Amino acid sequence: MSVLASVNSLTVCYGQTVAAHDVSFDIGEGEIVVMIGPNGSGKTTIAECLEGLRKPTTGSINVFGKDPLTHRKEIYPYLGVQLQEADYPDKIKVEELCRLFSSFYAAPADYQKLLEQLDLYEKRNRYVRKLSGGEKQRLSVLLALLPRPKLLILDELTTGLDPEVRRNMWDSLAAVRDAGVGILLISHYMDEVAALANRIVFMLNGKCIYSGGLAGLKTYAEETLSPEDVKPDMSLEEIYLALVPKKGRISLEAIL
Amino acid sequence: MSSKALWAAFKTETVLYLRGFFGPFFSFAFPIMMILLFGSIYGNEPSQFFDGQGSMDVMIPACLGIVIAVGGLMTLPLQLSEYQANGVYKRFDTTPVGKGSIVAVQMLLYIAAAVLGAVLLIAAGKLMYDIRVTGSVGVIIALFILSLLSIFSIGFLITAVFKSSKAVNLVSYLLFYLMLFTSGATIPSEIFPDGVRRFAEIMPLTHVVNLFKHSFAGDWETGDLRSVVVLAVITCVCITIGSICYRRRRWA
Repeated sequence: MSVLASVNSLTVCYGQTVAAHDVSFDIGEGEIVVMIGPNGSGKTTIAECLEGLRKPTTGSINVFGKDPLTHRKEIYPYLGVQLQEADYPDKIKVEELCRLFSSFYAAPADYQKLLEQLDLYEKRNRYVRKLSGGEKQRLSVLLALLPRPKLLILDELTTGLDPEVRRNMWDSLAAVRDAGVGILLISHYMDEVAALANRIVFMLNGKCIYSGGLAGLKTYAEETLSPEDVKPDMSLEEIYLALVPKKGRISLEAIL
Repeated sequence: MSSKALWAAFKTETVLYLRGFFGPFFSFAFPIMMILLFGSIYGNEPSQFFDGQGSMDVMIPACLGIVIAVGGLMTLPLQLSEYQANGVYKRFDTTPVGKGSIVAVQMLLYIAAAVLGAVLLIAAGKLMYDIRVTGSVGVIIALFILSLLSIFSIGFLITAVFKSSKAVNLVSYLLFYLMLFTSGATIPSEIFPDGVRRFAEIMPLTHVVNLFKHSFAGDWETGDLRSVVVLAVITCVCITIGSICYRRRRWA
Protein backbone atom coordinates (compact mmCIF):
# COMPACT_ATOMS: atom_id res chain seq x y z
CA MET A 1 0.00 0.00 0.00
CA SER A 2 1.49 3.32 -0.98
CA VAL A 3 1.15 6.45 1.12
CA LEU A 4 -1.00 9.19 -0.41
CA ALA A 5 -0.61 11.85 2.24
CA SER A 6 1.36 12.33 5.40
CA VAL A 7 1.25 14.68 8.34
CA ASN A 8 4.71 15.01 9.89
CA SER A 9 5.20 16.48 13.38
CA LEU A 10 2.57 19.08 12.56
CA THR A 11 2.12 21.99 14.95
CA VAL A 12 -0.31 24.83 14.26
CA CYS A 13 -0.64 27.86 16.52
CA TYR A 14 -3.20 30.66 16.29
CA GLY A 15 -1.53 33.41 18.26
CA GLN A 16 -1.16 31.97 21.79
CA THR A 17 -3.47 29.01 21.15
CA VAL A 18 -1.92 25.73 20.08
CA ALA A 19 -4.52 24.11 17.81
CA ALA A 20 -2.40 21.09 16.92
CA HIS A 21 0.78 19.90 18.60
CA ASP A 22 3.30 17.50 17.06
CA VAL A 23 0.79 15.37 15.16
CA SER A 24 1.94 12.70 12.71
CA PHE A 25 0.04 10.12 10.66
CA ASP A 26 -0.29 8.80 7.11
CA ILE A 27 -3.19 8.10 4.80
CA GLY A 28 -2.61 5.22 2.41
CA GLU A 29 -4.23 4.05 -0.77
CA GLY A 30 -7.47 2.17 -0.17
CA GLU A 31 -7.85 2.93 3.51
CA ILE A 32 -10.15 5.01 5.65
CA VAL A 33 -8.48 6.96 8.43
CA VAL A 34 -11.02 8.40 10.85
CA MET A 35 -10.10 11.36 13.01
CA ILE A 36 -12.09 11.53 16.22
CA GLY A 37 -12.03 13.76 19.27
CA PRO A 38 -14.11 16.43 21.00
CA ASN A 39 -14.98 19.79 19.44
CA GLY A 40 -11.96 22.06 19.33
CA SER A 41 -9.41 19.27 19.56
CA GLY A 42 -7.69 20.26 16.30
CA LYS A 43 -9.28 17.90 13.75
CA THR A 44 -10.44 20.53 11.27
CA THR A 45 -7.15 22.42 11.59
CA ILE A 46 -5.25 19.31 10.51
CA ALA A 47 -7.67 18.65 7.65
CA GLU A 48 -7.26 22.24 6.49
CA CYS A 49 -3.48 21.87 6.49
CA LEU A 50 -3.85 18.79 4.26
CA GLU A 51 -6.18 20.78 2.00
CA GLY A 52 -3.61 23.57 1.67
CA LEU A 53 -5.87 26.09 3.38
CA ARG A 54 -3.66 26.53 6.41
CA LYS A 55 0.04 26.96 6.94
CA PRO A 56 1.75 24.71 9.50
CA THR A 57 3.61 26.62 12.20
CA THR A 58 6.17 23.82 12.30
CA GLY A 59 6.29 20.36 10.79
CA SER A 60 5.25 19.49 7.28
CA ILE A 61 2.43 18.18 5.12
CA ASN A 62 2.80 15.96 2.12
CA VAL A 63 0.03 15.19 -0.33
CA PHE A 64 0.99 12.94 -3.25
CA GLY A 65 4.60 13.60 -2.18
CA LYS A 66 4.24 17.38 -2.46
CA ASP A 67 3.58 20.40 -0.28
CA PRO A 68 -0.05 21.48 -0.89
CA LEU A 69 0.82 25.13 -0.29
CA THR A 70 3.30 25.32 -3.14
CA HIS A 71 2.02 22.66 -5.56
CA ARG A 72 -1.68 23.44 -6.04
CA LYS A 73 -1.69 22.42 -9.67
CA GLU A 74 -0.35 18.93 -9.03
CA ILE A 75 -2.56 18.24 -6.02
CA TYR A 76 -6.02 19.73 -6.43
CA PRO A 77 -6.96 17.81 -9.60
CA TYR A 78 -6.88 14.58 -7.53
CA LEU A 79 -8.14 15.83 -4.19
CA GLY A 80 -11.81 15.64 -3.20
CA VAL A 81 -12.80 17.89 -0.33
CA GLN A 82 -15.88 18.37 1.79
CA LEU A 83 -15.44 21.26 4.20
CA GLN A 84 -17.21 21.51 7.52
CA GLU A 85 -18.04 25.16 7.07
CA ALA A 86 -18.36 26.21 3.47
CA ASP A 87 -21.23 27.61 1.59
CA TYR A 88 -21.95 28.24 -2.05
CA PRO A 89 -22.92 31.42 -3.88
CA ASP A 90 -26.27 32.71 -2.69
CA LYS A 91 -28.25 32.57 -5.91
CA ILE A 92 -26.85 29.45 -7.54
CA LYS A 93 -28.88 26.38 -8.47
CA VAL A 94 -27.85 22.78 -7.84
CA GLU A 95 -27.12 21.84 -11.44
CA GLU A 96 -25.29 25.12 -12.14
CA LEU A 97 -23.00 24.45 -9.21
CA CYS A 98 -22.32 20.89 -10.41
CA ARG A 99 -21.60 22.11 -13.94
CA LEU A 100 -19.27 24.82 -12.64
CA PHE A 101 -17.25 22.43 -10.47
CA SER A 102 -17.11 19.85 -13.29
CA SER A 103 -15.43 22.44 -15.49
CA PHE A 104 -12.56 22.68 -12.98
CA TYR A 105 -11.38 19.12 -13.66
CA ALA A 106 -9.95 17.52 -16.78
CA ALA A 107 -11.90 14.24 -16.54
CA PRO A 108 -14.67 14.76 -13.99
CA ALA A 109 -17.18 12.13 -12.93
CA ASP A 110 -20.59 12.42 -14.60
CA TYR A 111 -22.50 14.77 -12.31
CA GLN A 112 -25.87 13.77 -13.75
CA LYS A 113 -25.24 10.22 -12.64
CA LEU A 114 -23.99 11.37 -9.24
CA LEU A 115 -27.10 13.53 -8.82
CA GLU A 116 -29.22 10.44 -9.39
CA GLN A 117 -27.12 8.25 -7.12
CA LEU A 118 -27.23 10.78 -4.31
CA ASP A 119 -30.98 11.25 -4.80
CA LEU A 120 -30.64 14.89 -5.79
CA TYR A 121 -31.73 14.66 -9.41
CA GLU A 122 -35.24 15.93 -8.64
CA LYS A 123 -33.68 18.92 -6.89
CA ARG A 124 -31.32 19.89 -9.69
CA ASN A 125 -33.20 23.12 -10.52
CA ARG A 126 -33.51 24.22 -6.90
CA TYR A 127 -31.52 27.03 -5.38
CA VAL A 128 -28.76 25.53 -3.23
CA ARG A 129 -29.76 27.70 -0.27
CA LYS A 130 -33.28 26.24 -0.41
CA LEU A 131 -32.02 22.67 0.11
CA SER A 132 -32.48 20.93 3.44
CA GLY A 133 -29.43 20.27 5.62
CA GLY A 134 -29.15 16.66 4.49
CA GLU A 135 -29.54 17.56 0.81
CA LYS A 136 -26.84 20.20 1.09
CA GLN A 137 -24.59 17.67 2.75
CA ARG A 138 -25.12 15.19 -0.09
CA LEU A 139 -24.38 17.95 -2.58
CA SER A 140 -21.03 18.65 -0.87
CA VAL A 141 -20.25 14.96 -1.11
CA LEU A 142 -21.11 15.06 -4.81
CA LEU A 143 -18.73 17.96 -5.37
CA ALA A 144 -16.01 16.16 -3.43
CA LEU A 145 -16.39 13.12 -5.69
CA LEU A 146 -16.45 15.08 -8.99
CA PRO A 147 -12.66 15.07 -9.51
CA ARG A 148 -12.59 11.23 -9.28
CA PRO A 149 -10.21 11.83 -6.39
CA LYS A 150 -7.29 9.70 -5.25
CA LEU A 151 -7.63 11.26 -1.81
CA LEU A 152 -10.91 12.30 -0.18
CA ILE A 153 -11.08 14.52 2.89
CA LEU A 154 -14.52 14.56 4.47
CA ASP A 155 -15.11 16.80 7.47
CA GLU A 156 -18.20 15.60 9.36
CA LEU A 157 -19.65 13.94 6.32
CA THR A 158 -22.77 12.42 7.81
CA THR A 159 -23.83 15.29 10.06
CA GLY A 160 -27.42 16.17 9.16
CA LEU A 161 -28.12 12.96 7.26
CA ASP A 162 -30.99 10.69 8.26
CA PRO A 163 -30.11 7.17 9.47
CA GLU A 164 -30.96 5.45 6.20
CA VAL A 165 -28.89 7.81 4.06
CA ARG A 166 -26.08 7.60 6.60
CA ARG A 167 -25.96 3.81 6.25
CA ASN A 168 -26.06 4.09 2.45
CA MET A 169 -23.24 6.59 2.62
CA TRP A 170 -21.13 4.12 4.61
CA ASP A 171 -21.61 1.45 1.96
CA SER A 172 -20.69 3.92 -0.77
CA LEU A 173 -17.60 5.08 1.08
CA ALA A 174 -16.48 1.51 1.62
CA ALA A 175 -16.88 0.90 -2.12
CA VAL A 176 -14.88 4.03 -2.93
CA ARG A 177 -12.16 2.87 -0.54
CA ASP A 178 -12.12 -0.60 -2.09
CA ALA A 179 -11.52 1.06 -5.44
CA GLY A 180 -8.22 2.34 -4.01
CA VAL A 181 -9.12 5.84 -2.83
CA GLY A 182 -7.59 7.02 0.44
CA ILE A 183 -10.11 8.68 2.74
CA LEU A 184 -9.67 10.92 5.75
CA LEU A 185 -12.95 11.15 7.61
CA ILE A 186 -13.69 13.34 10.59
CA SER A 187 -16.56 12.01 12.64
CA HIS A 188 -18.34 12.24 15.97
CA TYR A 189 -20.36 9.07 15.42
CA MET A 190 -18.77 6.01 16.94
CA ASP A 191 -20.98 3.57 15.02
CA GLU A 192 -19.60 5.15 11.86
CA VAL A 193 -16.04 4.84 13.13
CA ALA A 194 -16.59 1.18 14.00
CA ALA A 195 -18.13 0.47 10.59
CA LEU A 196 -15.57 2.26 8.45
CA ALA A 197 -12.24 2.94 10.11
CA ASN A 198 -9.14 1.07 9.03
CA ARG A 199 -7.26 3.32 11.40
CA ILE A 200 -8.16 5.89 14.02
CA VAL A 201 -6.44 9.14 14.86
CA PHE A 202 -7.69 10.19 18.31
CA MET A 203 -7.24 13.92 18.96
CA LEU A 204 -7.45 15.53 22.38
CA ASN A 205 -6.54 19.18 23.09
CA GLY A 206 -4.48 19.44 19.92
CA LYS A 207 -2.50 16.28 20.56
CA CYS A 208 -2.86 12.90 18.95
CA ILE A 209 -3.27 10.53 21.90
CA TYR A 210 -3.71 7.41 19.83
CA SER A 211 -3.14 6.42 16.24
CA GLY A 212 -3.76 2.87 15.08
CA GLY A 213 -6.39 0.17 14.59
CA LEU A 214 -9.68 -0.29 16.43
CA ALA A 215 -8.46 -3.25 18.45
CA GLY A 216 -5.39 -1.33 19.54
CA LEU A 217 -7.53 1.48 20.92
CA LYS A 218 -9.08 -0.92 23.41
CA THR A 219 -5.67 -2.07 24.59
CA TYR A 220 -4.54 1.55 24.80
CA ALA A 221 -7.62 2.43 26.90
CA GLU A 222 -7.04 -0.49 29.27
CA GLU A 223 -3.44 0.59 29.79
CA THR A 224 -4.20 4.29 30.20
CA LEU A 225 -7.38 4.32 32.24
CA SER A 226 -7.48 3.65 35.93
CA PRO A 227 -8.72 0.09 36.62
CA GLU A 228 -12.09 1.23 38.00
CA ASP A 229 -12.87 2.98 34.70
CA VAL A 230 -12.23 -0.13 32.63
CA LYS A 231 -15.20 -2.39 32.12
CA PRO A 232 -15.27 -5.66 30.23
CA ASP A 233 -16.73 -5.47 26.69
CA MET A 234 -16.65 -1.68 26.47
CA SER A 235 -18.17 -0.33 23.28
CA LEU A 236 -16.21 2.13 21.18
CA GLU A 237 -18.42 4.94 22.45
CA GLU A 238 -17.74 3.94 26.06
CA ILE A 239 -14.02 3.85 25.41
CA TYR A 240 -14.22 7.29 23.77
CA LEU A 241 -16.14 8.77 26.69
CA ALA A 242 -13.77 7.25 29.21
CA LEU A 243 -10.71 8.67 27.43
CA VAL A 244 -12.10 12.17 27.03
CA PRO A 245 -11.87 14.20 30.25
CA LYS A 246 -15.25 15.13 31.71
CA LYS A 247 -16.38 18.62 30.82
CA GLY A 248 -18.73 20.59 33.00
CA ARG A 249 -22.04 18.81 32.48
CA ILE A 250 -24.37 20.58 30.09
CA SER A 251 -27.78 21.10 31.62
CA LEU A 252 -31.01 22.72 30.61
CA GLU A 253 -32.43 23.07 34.07
CA ALA A 254 -32.74 26.82 33.73
CA ILE A 255 -36.01 26.30 31.86
CA LEU A 256 -37.58 24.10 34.54
CA MET B 1 -6.62 27.54 -14.73
CA SER B 2 -7.92 26.09 -17.96
CA SER B 3 -9.87 28.32 -20.32
CA LYS B 4 -12.81 25.91 -20.00
CA ALA B 5 -12.96 26.55 -16.26
CA LEU B 6 -12.43 30.29 -16.71
CA TRP B 7 -15.30 30.50 -19.19
CA ALA B 8 -17.61 28.38 -17.02
CA ALA B 9 -16.87 30.57 -14.00
CA PHE B 10 -17.52 33.71 -16.05
CA LYS B 11 -20.84 32.37 -17.32
CA THR B 12 -21.94 31.30 -13.84
CA GLU B 13 -20.94 34.60 -12.26
CA THR B 14 -22.81 36.46 -15.01
CA VAL B 15 -25.99 34.50 -14.29
CA LEU B 16 -25.60 35.19 -10.56
CA TYR B 17 -24.96 38.87 -11.23
CA LEU B 18 -28.11 39.16 -13.34
CA ARG B 19 -30.15 37.40 -10.65
CA GLY B 20 -29.15 40.05 -8.15
CA PHE B 21 -31.42 43.02 -8.72
CA PHE B 22 -29.19 45.78 -7.43
CA GLY B 23 -26.19 45.61 -9.79
CA PRO B 24 -28.02 45.38 -13.13
CA PHE B 25 -30.66 47.93 -12.08
CA PHE B 26 -28.18 50.61 -11.03
CA SER B 27 -25.74 49.90 -13.87
CA PHE B 28 -28.16 49.70 -16.79
CA ALA B 29 -31.61 51.03 -15.89
CA PHE B 30 -31.12 53.73 -13.28
CA PRO B 31 -28.77 56.05 -15.26
CA ILE B 32 -31.12 55.90 -18.26
CA MET B 33 -34.10 56.60 -15.99
CA MET B 34 -32.22 59.61 -14.65
CA ILE B 35 -31.59 61.08 -18.09
CA LEU B 36 -35.19 60.37 -19.14
CA LEU B 37 -36.43 62.21 -16.08
CA PHE B 38 -34.15 65.24 -16.41
CA GLY B 39 -34.37 65.16 -20.19
CA SER B 40 -38.16 65.36 -20.09
CA ILE B 41 -37.89 68.41 -17.85
CA TYR B 42 -35.03 70.34 -19.45
CA GLY B 43 -34.53 68.84 -22.92
CA ASN B 44 -31.13 69.41 -24.48
CA GLU B 45 -31.30 73.01 -25.69
CA PRO B 46 -28.17 75.11 -25.07
CA SER B 47 -28.51 76.58 -21.61
CA GLN B 48 -26.80 79.49 -19.92
CA PHE B 49 -26.77 77.51 -16.74
CA PHE B 50 -24.31 75.06 -18.32
CA ASP B 51 -22.25 77.65 -20.18
CA GLY B 52 -24.06 77.16 -23.46
CA GLN B 53 -24.11 73.35 -23.34
CA GLY B 54 -27.38 71.41 -23.29
CA SER B 55 -28.52 69.82 -20.00
CA MET B 56 -28.09 66.35 -21.45
CA ASP B 57 -24.63 67.15 -22.83
CA VAL B 58 -23.58 67.66 -19.22
CA MET B 59 -25.86 65.17 -17.50
CA ILE B 60 -24.85 62.09 -19.47
CA PRO B 61 -21.10 62.26 -18.85
CA ALA B 62 -21.93 62.92 -15.19
CA CYS B 63 -24.14 59.82 -15.07
CA LEU B 64 -21.15 57.71 -16.12
CA GLY B 65 -20.08 58.28 -12.53
CA ILE B 66 -23.14 56.29 -11.35
CA VAL B 67 -22.23 53.34 -13.55
CA ILE B 68 -18.67 53.23 -12.22
CA ALA B 69 -19.69 53.79 -8.60
CA VAL B 70 -22.24 50.95 -8.67
CA GLY B 71 -19.62 48.50 -9.91
CA GLY B 72 -16.76 49.62 -7.69
CA LEU B 73 -18.51 50.65 -4.48
CA MET B 74 -21.49 48.30 -4.40
CA THR B 75 -21.30 45.17 -6.54
CA LEU B 76 -17.59 44.51 -6.05
CA PRO B 77 -17.25 44.93 -2.27
CA LEU B 78 -20.64 43.36 -1.42
CA GLN B 79 -20.05 40.31 -3.58
CA LEU B 80 -16.45 39.79 -2.48
CA SER B 81 -17.34 40.07 1.20
CA GLU B 82 -20.31 37.73 0.83
CA TYR B 83 -18.10 35.05 -0.75
CA GLN B 84 -15.45 35.63 1.89
CA ALA B 85 -17.84 35.48 4.85
CA ASN B 86 -19.71 32.39 3.65
CA GLY B 87 -16.59 30.39 2.87
CA VAL B 88 -17.32 30.29 -0.86
CA TYR B 89 -13.75 31.28 -1.71
CA LYS B 90 -12.46 28.69 0.72
CA ARG B 91 -14.26 25.97 -1.20
CA PHE B 92 -12.89 27.27 -4.51
CA ASP B 93 -9.45 27.30 -2.94
CA THR B 94 -9.55 23.52 -2.62
CA THR B 95 -10.08 23.08 -6.38
CA PRO B 96 -7.52 23.50 -9.19
CA VAL B 97 -9.08 26.88 -9.91
CA GLY B 98 -8.38 28.67 -6.65
CA LYS B 99 -9.75 31.83 -5.11
CA GLY B 100 -7.53 34.19 -7.12
CA SER B 101 -8.98 33.13 -10.47
CA ILE B 102 -12.55 33.49 -9.20
CA VAL B 103 -11.82 36.98 -7.88
CA ALA B 104 -10.27 37.85 -11.25
CA VAL B 105 -13.36 36.55 -13.09
CA GLN B 106 -15.62 38.61 -10.81
CA MET B 107 -13.57 41.79 -11.36
CA LEU B 108 -13.64 41.21 -15.11
CA LEU B 109 -17.41 40.76 -15.03
CA TYR B 110 -18.04 43.93 -13.03
CA ILE B 111 -15.73 45.88 -15.33
CA ALA B 112 -17.58 44.47 -18.35
CA ALA B 113 -20.89 45.49 -16.75
CA ALA B 114 -19.59 49.04 -16.20
CA VAL B 115 -18.40 49.27 -19.81
CA LEU B 116 -21.75 47.99 -21.08
CA GLY B 117 -23.62 50.40 -18.79
CA ALA B 118 -21.53 53.30 -20.12
CA VAL B 119 -22.08 52.29 -23.75
CA LEU B 120 -25.85 51.96 -23.19
CA LEU B 121 -26.01 55.33 -21.47
CA ILE B 122 -24.08 57.18 -24.18
CA ALA B 123 -26.05 55.41 -26.93
CA ALA B 124 -29.33 56.38 -25.24
CA GLY B 125 -28.12 59.98 -24.99
CA LYS B 126 -27.15 60.04 -28.63
CA LEU B 127 -30.44 58.51 -29.79
CA MET B 128 -32.82 60.41 -27.58
CA TYR B 129 -31.15 63.82 -27.18
CA ASP B 130 -28.44 63.81 -29.84
CA ILE B 131 -25.82 64.81 -27.27
CA ARG B 132 -22.72 66.59 -28.55
CA VAL B 133 -19.33 65.05 -27.77
CA THR B 134 -16.72 67.57 -28.78
CA GLY B 135 -13.78 66.17 -26.79
CA SER B 136 -11.40 63.45 -27.99
CA VAL B 137 -12.78 59.90 -27.77
CA GLY B 138 -9.31 58.56 -26.96
CA VAL B 139 -9.02 60.86 -23.95
CA ILE B 140 -12.52 59.89 -22.78
CA ILE B 141 -11.64 56.19 -22.97
CA ALA B 142 -8.37 56.74 -21.13
CA LEU B 143 -10.17 58.66 -18.38
CA PHE B 144 -12.84 55.97 -18.20
CA ILE B 145 -10.15 53.35 -17.55
CA LEU B 146 -8.48 55.52 -14.91
CA SER B 147 -11.83 56.16 -13.21
CA LEU B 148 -12.72 52.47 -13.23
CA LEU B 149 -9.37 51.58 -11.69
CA SER B 150 -9.55 54.19 -8.96
CA ILE B 151 -13.17 53.59 -7.87
CA PHE B 152 -12.81 49.78 -8.08
CA SER B 153 -9.60 49.96 -6.04
CA ILE B 154 -11.55 51.73 -3.27
CA GLY B 155 -14.05 48.83 -3.25
CA PHE B 156 -11.17 46.38 -3.12
CA LEU B 157 -9.61 48.25 -0.19
CA ILE B 158 -12.89 48.15 1.76
CA THR B 159 -13.03 44.35 1.49
CA ALA B 160 -9.38 44.11 2.52
CA VAL B 161 -9.62 46.34 5.57
CA PHE B 162 -12.93 45.18 7.03
CA LYS B 163 -13.36 41.53 7.88
CA SER B 164 -17.06 41.26 8.63
CA SER B 165 -19.49 41.55 5.76
CA LYS B 166 -21.66 43.79 7.93
CA ALA B 167 -18.88 46.36 8.18
CA VAL B 168 -18.17 46.08 4.46
CA ASN B 169 -21.86 46.63 3.70
CA LEU B 170 -22.08 49.64 5.98
CA VAL B 171 -18.98 51.37 4.62
CA SER B 172 -19.87 50.56 1.01
CA TYR B 173 -23.44 51.87 1.27
CA LEU B 174 -22.25 54.98 3.08
CA LEU B 175 -19.56 55.83 0.54
CA PHE B 176 -21.79 54.92 -2.40
CA TYR B 177 -24.72 57.15 -1.45
CA LEU B 178 -22.53 59.95 -0.20
CA MET B 179 -20.64 60.04 -3.49
CA LEU B 180 -23.73 59.41 -5.60
CA PHE B 181 -25.44 62.56 -4.36
CA THR B 182 -22.49 64.92 -3.79
CA SER B 183 -20.34 64.15 -6.83
CA GLY B 184 -22.71 65.66 -9.35
CA ALA B 185 -23.44 62.23 -10.85
CA THR B 186 -27.15 62.44 -10.03
CA ILE B 187 -27.81 66.02 -8.91
CA PRO B 188 -25.99 68.60 -11.07
CA SER B 189 -23.15 70.06 -8.98
CA GLU B 190 -23.89 73.45 -10.56
CA ILE B 191 -26.80 73.87 -8.12
CA PHE B 192 -24.77 73.00 -4.98
CA PRO B 193 -23.94 75.75 -2.49
CA ASP B 194 -20.22 76.35 -1.87
CA GLY B 195 -20.13 74.35 1.37
CA VAL B 196 -21.40 71.18 -0.31
CA ARG B 197 -19.06 71.73 -3.21
CA ARG B 198 -16.06 71.96 -0.88
CA PHE B 199 -17.14 68.77 0.86
CA ALA B 200 -17.63 67.05 -2.49
CA GLU B 201 -14.04 67.92 -3.42
CA ILE B 202 -12.73 65.23 -1.06
CA MET B 203 -14.88 62.55 -2.73
CA PRO B 204 -13.05 60.65 -5.48
CA LEU B 205 -16.22 60.32 -7.57
CA THR B 206 -16.43 64.13 -7.83
CA HIS B 207 -13.13 64.10 -9.69
CA VAL B 208 -14.44 61.33 -11.96
CA VAL B 209 -17.60 63.28 -12.76
CA ASN B 210 -15.73 66.55 -13.41
CA LEU B 211 -13.24 64.84 -15.69
CA PHE B 212 -16.02 63.22 -17.72
CA LYS B 213 -17.92 66.48 -18.04
CA HIS B 214 -14.87 68.38 -19.21
CA SER B 215 -13.52 65.66 -21.50
CA PHE B 216 -16.89 65.25 -23.24
CA ALA B 217 -17.07 69.00 -23.82
CA GLY B 218 -13.40 69.20 -24.72
CA ASP B 219 -12.84 72.23 -22.51
CA TRP B 220 -10.22 71.56 -19.90
CA GLU B 221 -10.04 73.41 -16.64
CA THR B 222 -6.96 74.02 -14.56
CA GLY B 223 -8.11 71.63 -11.84
CA ASP B 224 -8.41 68.70 -14.21
CA LEU B 225 -4.78 67.65 -14.15
CA ARG B 226 -5.00 67.63 -10.38
CA SER B 227 -8.05 65.33 -10.60
CA VAL B 228 -6.10 62.92 -12.81
CA VAL B 229 -3.29 62.86 -10.27
CA VAL B 230 -5.74 62.38 -7.38
CA LEU B 231 -7.35 59.36 -9.10
CA ALA B 232 -3.98 57.84 -9.97
CA VAL B 233 -2.75 58.23 -6.40
CA ILE B 234 -5.98 56.72 -5.00
CA THR B 235 -5.53 53.71 -7.28
CA CYS B 236 -1.93 53.10 -6.22
CA VAL B 237 -2.57 53.61 -2.51
CA CYS B 238 -5.72 51.45 -2.35
CA ILE B 239 -4.21 48.57 -4.30
CA THR B 240 -0.99 48.63 -2.25
CA ILE B 241 -2.67 48.80 1.16
CA GLY B 242 -5.38 46.33 0.11
CA SER B 243 -2.82 43.79 -1.07
CA ILE B 244 -0.83 44.09 2.15
CA CYS B 245 -4.01 43.59 4.24
CA TYR B 246 -5.02 40.52 2.24
CA ARG B 247 -1.57 38.96 2.51
CA ARG B 248 -1.53 39.49 6.27
CA ARG B 249 -5.00 38.09 6.69
CA ARG B 250 -4.41 34.93 4.66
CA TRP B 251 -3.07 32.83 7.53
CA ALA B 252 -4.76 34.62 10.42
